[in-house]
Amino acid sequence: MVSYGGSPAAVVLVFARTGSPSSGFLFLRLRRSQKKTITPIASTIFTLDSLLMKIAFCSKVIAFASLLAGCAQLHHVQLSDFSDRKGQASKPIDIKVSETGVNLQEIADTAKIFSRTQKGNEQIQQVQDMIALFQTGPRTGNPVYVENYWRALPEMIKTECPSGRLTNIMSVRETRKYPIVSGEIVRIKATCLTSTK
Amino acid sequence: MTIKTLAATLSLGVLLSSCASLNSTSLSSIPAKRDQVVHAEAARTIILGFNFDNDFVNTLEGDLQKQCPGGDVRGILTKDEVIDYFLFIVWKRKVTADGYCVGGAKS
Repeated sequence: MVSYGGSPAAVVLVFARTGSPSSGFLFLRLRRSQKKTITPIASTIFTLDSLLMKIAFCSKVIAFASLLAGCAQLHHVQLSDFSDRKGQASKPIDIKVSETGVNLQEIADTAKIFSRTQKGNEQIQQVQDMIALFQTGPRTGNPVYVENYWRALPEMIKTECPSGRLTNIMSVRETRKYPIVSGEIVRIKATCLTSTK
Repeated sequence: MTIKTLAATLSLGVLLSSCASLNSTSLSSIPAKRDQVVHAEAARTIILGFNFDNDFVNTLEGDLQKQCPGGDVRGILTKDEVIDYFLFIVWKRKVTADGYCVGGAKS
């Protein structure tokens, strides 16, 4: 199973991090060495620097917004037979079950950012490698710790549709991805045939 | 044609062409009467992974029903695929449903 749409925010964050500090450093160096006379080249660099800072700020805003929004990943869609016969009373039903998934690799990556020593980084990497050994193989989304969360679905369908006569069933497996955690979702959309009109 | 031109053309061709990968397929029971084929497709282009919902798949149901008013759509083959474009920065999620209309009016 192919997994897409990992973390676009990370791309923006990298851009934001690489864009601003280096240009800010250049700006400080120029200010110290050329306090009195600012050459045209230096003023051009200042303009470029302010532009880069603006871009970095915008990137940070976009990154923050995307972190809050959460990206949706589609894993699987399945359609059953559809019926549009007249003379049947029906009602649409939409059922969703979800469980929190945890990305341990992202936790380790975050820990690496905050680790100050090389040794600490190496230890985290070792832990990360061990986790990777236990989490190989085909899967959709992040691992969850309550693997039977979807088992409530038949009961929920029975409650929503007591007649048990379902048509137009569409089942969707998707992930709502946030930093480190994710929502692992199974959604059933169907039409419940209640009785003859 | 020089080697440079050939290499440039080949590179451009590789960059502009897309790679398709199949995520999943499913098939419901196929009817005996298969003379009226219906087809529906839902797709979304995603740039840099920015995709905030998967509601685009909800249009499939309506599209199929429109093509078979008053009847049943059976033997639905659902195909879920990803088509990658330029350098995997842009890709398209496409869900295709093909089936047979049974007992419905032609639309």
